[in-house]
Amino acid sequence: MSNVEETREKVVIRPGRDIVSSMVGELREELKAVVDKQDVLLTVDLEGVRMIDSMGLGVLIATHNSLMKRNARLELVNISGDILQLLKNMRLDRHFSLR
Amino acid sequence: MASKEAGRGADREGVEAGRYQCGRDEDGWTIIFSATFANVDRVCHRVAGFLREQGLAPLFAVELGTREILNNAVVHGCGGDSNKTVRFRIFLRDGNLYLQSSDEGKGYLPREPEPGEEDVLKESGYGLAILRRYFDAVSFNASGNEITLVLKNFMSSCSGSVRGVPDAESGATRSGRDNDE
Repeated sequence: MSNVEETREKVVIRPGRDIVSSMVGELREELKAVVDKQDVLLTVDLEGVRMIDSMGLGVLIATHNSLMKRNARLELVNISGDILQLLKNMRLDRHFSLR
Repeated sequence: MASKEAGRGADREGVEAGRYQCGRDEDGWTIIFSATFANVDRVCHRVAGFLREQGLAPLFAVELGTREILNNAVVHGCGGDSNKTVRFRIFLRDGNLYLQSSDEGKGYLPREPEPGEEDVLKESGYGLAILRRYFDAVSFNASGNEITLVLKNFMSSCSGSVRGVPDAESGATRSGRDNDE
């Protein structure tokens, strides 16, 4: 289960483990619960995440797309070098806010 | 096989893993497992062990490639049916690293994306693009239920360091070989 920190301005969710097929179902539900009530900014803190597979990317993209429909946005922070390169390789750095 | 691990029981999160058999052969490991994502995690743990045997740290590209082909086998090859099995091999031959997955499915031969299609922010379908980016060769058997990934000159390019990660901005490099820093 991810750590979730909510304030009036934003929500920070910290999966704290690799975002891969064995856990994306759970994360998808956690993110969906947040997206449904989030109008401004959702931050996914990738501290402790060293791997994201294509199913994990799909969950993040779905979250991004849902937030965009609400004029909200997704931000990724504390990104490892390998994951940052993966996002660039898939050209997702053009869509996500990375910090 | 010189050694063998076999398991039928719970994985570390308590999820029933079903069949999981891991055996060593002369140039690598063969793992046959029930089609579950929990078992994909177990295989990745074994892959890291194989790399350690070669004196290497766990490598992002190798784990990523392993996950992509095994996820594909579980989801598409086996239809998520944990009563079906996936066969995975990792081995070194002539200095090249091979990752190979086969399943019980009917197989499929993926189409290449249309020009510009990769720019669309779609929510799935990144697996093959990742494999083509990170590996020197990606091939399928005739029926499409077996995939083989190759990292050429793997041992010489690693030299005990982390194999590089391809950079989309620097050209068409798909393996890390040309991007080692």
